[in-house]
This record gives sequence, C-alpha cells and structure tokens, in this order.
Amino acid sequence: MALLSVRDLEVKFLTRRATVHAVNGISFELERGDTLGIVGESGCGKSVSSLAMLGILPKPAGRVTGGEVLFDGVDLLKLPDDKLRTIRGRDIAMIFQDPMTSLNPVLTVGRQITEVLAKHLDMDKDQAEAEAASLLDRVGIPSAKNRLRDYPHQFSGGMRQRAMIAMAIACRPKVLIADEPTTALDVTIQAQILDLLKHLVAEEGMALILITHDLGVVAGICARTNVMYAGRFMETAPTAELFARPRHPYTLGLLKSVPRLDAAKKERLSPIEGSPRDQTKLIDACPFAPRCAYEVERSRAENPPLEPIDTEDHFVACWNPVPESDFPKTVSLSGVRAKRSSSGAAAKRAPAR
Amino acid sequence: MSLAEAEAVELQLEAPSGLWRDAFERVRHNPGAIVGVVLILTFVLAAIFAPAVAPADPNEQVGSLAANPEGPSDEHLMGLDKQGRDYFSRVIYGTRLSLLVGIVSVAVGLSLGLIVGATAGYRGGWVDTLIMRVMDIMLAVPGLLLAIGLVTLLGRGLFQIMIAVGITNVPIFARLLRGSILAQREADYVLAARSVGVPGRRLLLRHILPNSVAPMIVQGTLAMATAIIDVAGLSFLGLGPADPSLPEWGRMLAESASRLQQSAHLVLFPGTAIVILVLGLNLIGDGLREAIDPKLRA
Repeated sequence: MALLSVRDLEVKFLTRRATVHAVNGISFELERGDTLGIVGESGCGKSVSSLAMLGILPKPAGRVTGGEVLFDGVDLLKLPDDKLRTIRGRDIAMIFQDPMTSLNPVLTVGRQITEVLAKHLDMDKDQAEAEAASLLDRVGIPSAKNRLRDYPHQFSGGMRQRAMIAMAIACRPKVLIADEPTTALDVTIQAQILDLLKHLVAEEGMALILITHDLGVVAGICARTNVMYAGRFMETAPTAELFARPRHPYTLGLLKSVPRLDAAKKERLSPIEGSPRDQTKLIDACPFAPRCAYEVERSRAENPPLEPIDTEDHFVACWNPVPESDFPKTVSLSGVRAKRSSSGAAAKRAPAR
Repeated sequence: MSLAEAEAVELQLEAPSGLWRDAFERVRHNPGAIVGVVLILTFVLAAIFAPAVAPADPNEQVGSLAANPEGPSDEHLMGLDKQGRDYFSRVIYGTRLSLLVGIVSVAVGLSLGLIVGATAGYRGGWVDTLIMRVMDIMLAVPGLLLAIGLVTLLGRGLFQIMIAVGITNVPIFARLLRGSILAQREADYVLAARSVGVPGRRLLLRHILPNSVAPMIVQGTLAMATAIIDVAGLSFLGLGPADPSLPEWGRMLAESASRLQQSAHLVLFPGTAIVILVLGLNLIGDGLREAIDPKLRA
C-alpha cells in the first residue's frame, strides 16, 4: 500500500455569496522517497489541497466535501482533530511560501523548533535544544547553537526559510509538503534551498510534495509532475517525459511561456491568453477550453477524464491532446539541466482570483 | 555555505534588537515622550518617598482652623487648608492615591478585557457576537455614568471605586484585543504552527496573544490617565472614598470649589497636579503608540 494516497479529494469554500469549487477530485499516490511536483497557476487549488490533507483549511469557509486521504492506511479526513494533530508535524510536515511571515516574530527561532520536538518526541528542554541546534546546523545555518536564541527578524530571508525547513524536518516526517518554498526568495538563495531539500529528501527517504508555479523548480527536483488547473489534474507524467512530450495544451502553454535554456532558436515565448476560469460554477466541460487553441466541440460539452496516453504512467485529461508536431523544439545541451527560471511567466501574468 | 556565513557575520555586526528595544529607541528620540517620562517619574518618586518629601503628616494640624486659610508661603509651599493642614503634604500624599487608583483600575480593566477579548477573538462565532454586543452596550453608556452606577452598586470605598472604573475600561480593552487577535489569527506563522501540530490553547497563549498585546499596552497608559480623571471626578461628585481624611485630589477640589475666589490655592494645586499627571501619562501613551504601532512606522 502506498504511504500517502489521495483519492478524489474535493474542497469547496462556502461563502455567503458563492461557493468556490477549489479542488474538484484529485487523486495521487506517494511512496517513500517519491518526489512529486504539483504545478499550476495562482488559485488553481495547489495550496488548498495540501491544507485540506492536513486538516488546516481556513475555517469556517473551507470544507472538504469528498474523497479520502489515506496515510499509512488511515483516512486523515476522518480523524478527530487531536489525533490529526499528532500526525501533523510528526509524520507529515509542511514548509510555507513566505519565510518572512511564517515564523512567529515574538518567539526565538530555537523555541519554535524545540516546541515541535517537545510536543511530538517528548524531549526535555536540554535534549530538544541540542537537537534543535543540530537541525539548524543540518540546514546550513552557521554557528547554529548561538542562533537558537535569535529572533526571526535577526535572520535573513534565506536563513528563515532554512529555519522553517529545520522546523518541518524536526521529527523526521515521512511526507514533507513544500508549498512554494522558494517563491519569496531571490534566485541564488532559491537554488541553495532547493539543493538542501533535495539532499534532505534523499538522505531521510522522505516523500516530497513540491507545490509551485515554477516549472524550473520542478525540473530540478521532482521525479514526477502533476499539472493542475481549476482544481483538477490536467496531466501527470514523469517530469522528463512531461517536459519533452507535453500532451495537454495547458502544459504546453506553461512550457512555452517560460524561457528554456535548451529551446531551439526559433521557439518564441508565448503567454497563455485569457485568465483562469471562474470557479464558482461547476460545469461539465473542459475547464481550460475557453483559453485553448486545441479545443474541440466535445471540450465544451463534457469534462475529459484523466486517462493514460503514450506510456503507462503518462496521464492526460484532454479530448484533443497536443500532437507530436507541436512538442516544444529543443536542442541537446548535453547534461545541462533546464534552467531554473525565476518565475512561471504564465502564472504571474494571470490575475489571481 | 559561504553565503550563509557572510550573512551571519553581517548580522553579528548590528546590535541585537527586539520589538521592545526598538520601541525604546523610538521613545528615546521622541521629546514629548521624554517629557512625559520625566513628569511621571517625578510623581512616582514623590509617591514612593512621600514621607521624606512632605514636610508634615497630611492629617496633622499645623496651623489654625480658618474659613480663609493662608496661601502659599515659605513655610507652607502650597499654603494650608481649612483644617490647618499643610496643603503641600496633602497633595504629595494624594499622588500615592492617584497612582494607585490608576494602576489598579487599569489592571482590573486590562485583565478582564484580556480574557473577554481573547475569548471573543479566538472562539469567534456566536460567542464572539454575544460578547461583543454586551461590550457595545457597555460602551453605549458614558463611562463616568457607568462608574457612578457601579459605585452605587458596590458601595463607596477606594477599592470599589477602582473596580468600578476598571470595569468601565473592559469594553475598550476587549475590542482592541479582539481586533488584533482576529488579524493575527490568519497570520502565516499561525498556520505554520498549526501545521506542526500546536494545539489550540497553546496556539492562542504562546503564538497569537504575545503578538496581539502591543496596542493594549499603549491603551493601558492612556486608560490610566482617564482612570485618574474618572476617580477624581467621582470624588468631586461626592462618590469618592468614604474615609474623609484621605487626601484624594478630586475630593480636595470638591471641598474647596465653592471658595475658589477666596482661597484659589486650594483648587489650583490639586487641579494642576491632576492635569500634569494626566498630561504625562498621555505623552507617554502617545509616544509608545508611535513607537509600537506598525501603521505609524516608516
């Protein structure tokens, strides 16, 4: 059985004016050591689905309305909050987007890490402090022992994100969810943080879910990538396969709107026209159809299911998948990896809902 | 990790600074606040060392009884009152009462407001609605009127008066705290704390509250000023402490108001003392607000 298995997860936000269908039935499985990227533009439901898995959706508006999240065979969505609390942080931990605001400004960094250790691993003060120091050291903070007494504002952005990571990995979680861990950092620090994550995941054998709008980030770390749009997975495939043979027009659009080092000279950057769908109405049609160049009659009439295409682990939800002739043209860079761009151009351009 | 090391070195160069140290720095460069601190310090010292500062016991008759007591002189800095007591000594001992009243009533208001506001802000829902409507009703009644009602209910006495004035402050503190808790509740670090499994009560006490109390401290200083005025007001209206020998500034004013034209000094000195004490507290309060309020920060 898979370590983490999400089935048909549905999340809605109920407000007085409208219901927002944020996540509309996503499924995936994760084994130890897996690295899964979830890519999509702002508001497509990436973060919400991870908050839902941990049972920390904003209340009272956010509701999980369907599906199950099986962790070690236990459905997290059915657990009472106090049971779930023992899993959060110990077995599944999360790293957030903005390190500037994700640490409590009035508690020392050390206190915030020892709090987790004391709670989940029953360590006493001295043990927890020693462990916290070794954690900070592990994530690359120099003279870690002295920095425990520092407050978050005495750390730079990159160091704060390192401290956040130390907090998240404090209990050696089995699953680490990183929600846009590098978005708020500048490019050099981004690379360092991604490197750190990569090493930690490899050394600890954790499973990693990396949520991002940045295809470059995914390319560097994730073995597998799920492309999300309007609360659904549009395409899921091994990352290399996805970059080379994107079968969903949305994936293609994302790839084309980001500069690539290995792009052939003739390739031009082209943004995805239009903006994301209004998610207050759930209609039986492909959600991407209004912005899609490959749209066929059926796209407007019926929602395409996620079905295998080409190989057995490449899935796409599309009535008219991108033909081979339209795949991005690349030149061989012999060993140079796709550039980590500092932004997903398409995601940035589309207004957030 | 050479970059991280460089960062570390750079950071060690600047002196460690926290919210309070920061605030202190800002207060230090605010002339108004400095004046306030000096004024209040003077009063506090006078209160603590009243026996040393005051030339006579406040209740000792040092001159003769007189309808028009003698005014300020070299011997009696602020003259004598109708019972022939040294007025300067009475004003000095009155400082003790006023400061005590300010501190205790604010402590009462602050702690009740803290509990009520935190409950409302953190629980939300109908609890919040119920609590805040009650607070609205309390706010709709003028503070002094509410205090008069409470004193009538609780009885006259220094302690009862402090409680009454404290209670009139509860809605102000409660609203303030509820507001900042609502704002903090949605903060990223709270979500992050929840994501590592910090339970609800701890979340409120360790994470949300310490980030929400700064405006309460500012309000507390300002509330101390109004509390002192309120108590003086109550005394002036004849609802002050029952013991007539207590040198309460408000009562001293009330006793001599009718003879303002004959013995102006009896009104002038306690009146001035109230004004200066309240002014000092307000200056400190405003200075603190400027130092702490993130909206006023550059």
